[in-house]
Amino acid sequence: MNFILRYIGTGKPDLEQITAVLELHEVKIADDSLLPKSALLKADKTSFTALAASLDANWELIPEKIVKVPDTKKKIRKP
Amino acid sequence: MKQSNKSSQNFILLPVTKTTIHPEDSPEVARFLTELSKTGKQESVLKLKVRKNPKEPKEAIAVKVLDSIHTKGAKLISINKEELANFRFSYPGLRIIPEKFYRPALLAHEKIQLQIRQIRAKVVTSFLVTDPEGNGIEGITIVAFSDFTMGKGASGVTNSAGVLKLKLDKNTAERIYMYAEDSYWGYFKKSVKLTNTIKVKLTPIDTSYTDSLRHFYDTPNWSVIKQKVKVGIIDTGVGPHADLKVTGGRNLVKGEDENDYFDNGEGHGTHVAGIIAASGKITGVAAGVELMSYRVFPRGAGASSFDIMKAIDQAITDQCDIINMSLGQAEDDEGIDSYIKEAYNAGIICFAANGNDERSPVSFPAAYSLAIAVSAMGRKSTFPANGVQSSAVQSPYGADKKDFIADFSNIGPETDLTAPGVGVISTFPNDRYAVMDGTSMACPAAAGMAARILSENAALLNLPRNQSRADEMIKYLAIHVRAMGFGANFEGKGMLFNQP
Repeated sequence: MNFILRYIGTGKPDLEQITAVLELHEVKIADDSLLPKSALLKADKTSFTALAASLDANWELIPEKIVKVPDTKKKIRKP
Repeated sequence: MKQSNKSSQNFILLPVTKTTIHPEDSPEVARFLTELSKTGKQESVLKLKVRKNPKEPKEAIAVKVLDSIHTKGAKLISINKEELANFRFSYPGLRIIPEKFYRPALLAHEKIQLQIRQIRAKVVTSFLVTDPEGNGIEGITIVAFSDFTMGKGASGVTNSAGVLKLKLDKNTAERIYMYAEDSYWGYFKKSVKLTNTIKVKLTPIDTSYTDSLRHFYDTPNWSVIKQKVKVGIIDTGVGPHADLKVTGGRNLVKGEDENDYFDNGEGHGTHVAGIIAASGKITGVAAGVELMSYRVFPRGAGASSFDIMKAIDQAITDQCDIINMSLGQAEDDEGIDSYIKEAYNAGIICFAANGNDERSPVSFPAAYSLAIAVSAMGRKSTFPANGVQSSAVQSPYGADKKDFIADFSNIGPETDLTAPGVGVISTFPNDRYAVMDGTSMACPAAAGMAARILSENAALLNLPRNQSRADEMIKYLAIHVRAMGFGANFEGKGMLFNQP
């Protein structure tokens, strides 16, 4: 499962510090196109648990969710 | 819990970005929150003006301020849920969050999964599906129920000769549904006596047909939009289609070519785009707008919430005026919410589909208070009599009894608008046309109408790109909304029309 790292603090985020924290927990950035506000992270569940515990209040982790293409035909429970 | 009367519910009002508002960011919101603060201690009922067409009688919304954090900060209010959409359109620039109460986490009982019983085949019926000339049509999905309530029956897809054999346990099918991916209307019939062969001729799509969208909006006779309005579509991609001109966009799906923002083949985004901007054999409600395609759905798979965040971010960078999101899910997503908020702060309005879960609560992100949530309505006699759309007819009916809220549409107090979403003809990849149903179709009908209405107000579109711009756009749209008679829980404030 991937997680999204979000900056929720005020002012400019300290990217060097957060990069060091990610490296420490062996968490890789899978998509950096929204940095410095957000990034998609890739790691195993244990690493995320440890990472979440070591983040300061300026950052939060939220799980990546998957949204399906909506139905455009009447939804019927197929037999 | 602060008490309020039975028909009312408590909501928290918050400025768009932070927990307090600075008068420089939005003087009107700052003034409004300050006004509410003055009454907070008495818990008295305020009568707030409703923004609407000036020709119509004046109305007031009763709001009780129950609590306040800072003069220019959060307010706890009690308001009748029927008035929520009116409130949002009259006082934009505020997040409106239902007051929630948390309970200790308890282990829930395991849900019991009901198994569908194996049916014992009694009758074998060969279905032959053809066009009006009698040629078999391949790829038609057929679902036949011997017992609809129990989910008993059989389903499959027609072969190259247009034939499908199904085995059922009774001589009569309670319901039969047939669906074409494109080019034909679907078919629906109840109580069908099963014989060896059942032949069904599907009705081809006639692009001049007056469907529910064109019943309310006479798009073939509307002029093309001249003022520059940019609409971003976050979906499966758009086109190619001769009726659609895509100005630009980006594919945000990880691992795919970012310059390939054509449809991934599923057709959803192309259909959505045609409702807004088609100009050719069919005409969208806002033909002439600049269309931007932001592809977030990989073919046959779901879209990552992160890719949706990237798409909104790109639409902000590209200076879109409106974003259409015909997508959703049951749970809230803070990441997507935060980017909708960023769009709002950049003067962009996001429209989102209510969801198609048979009158379930409004999906997210539509339910997020800074998004415009759109339900789907239909109209009798705007689809073939034996079309699958006839099964979507359900109360409530509108002031005109031919109008109805689609049985599949999600509903709730977060609904802002309703729009046609039953049996809508629009574009399908590779110059084809398809009929689709859903709040996915209603959403672009409303977003496109908003683009058309806003295009007539150049001064508004030329405002600096900030929260006040989005506030003013919503206020301007408010006077173009007409209640259709379904009630706020189903239609919010109503439907957008060209003339106030």
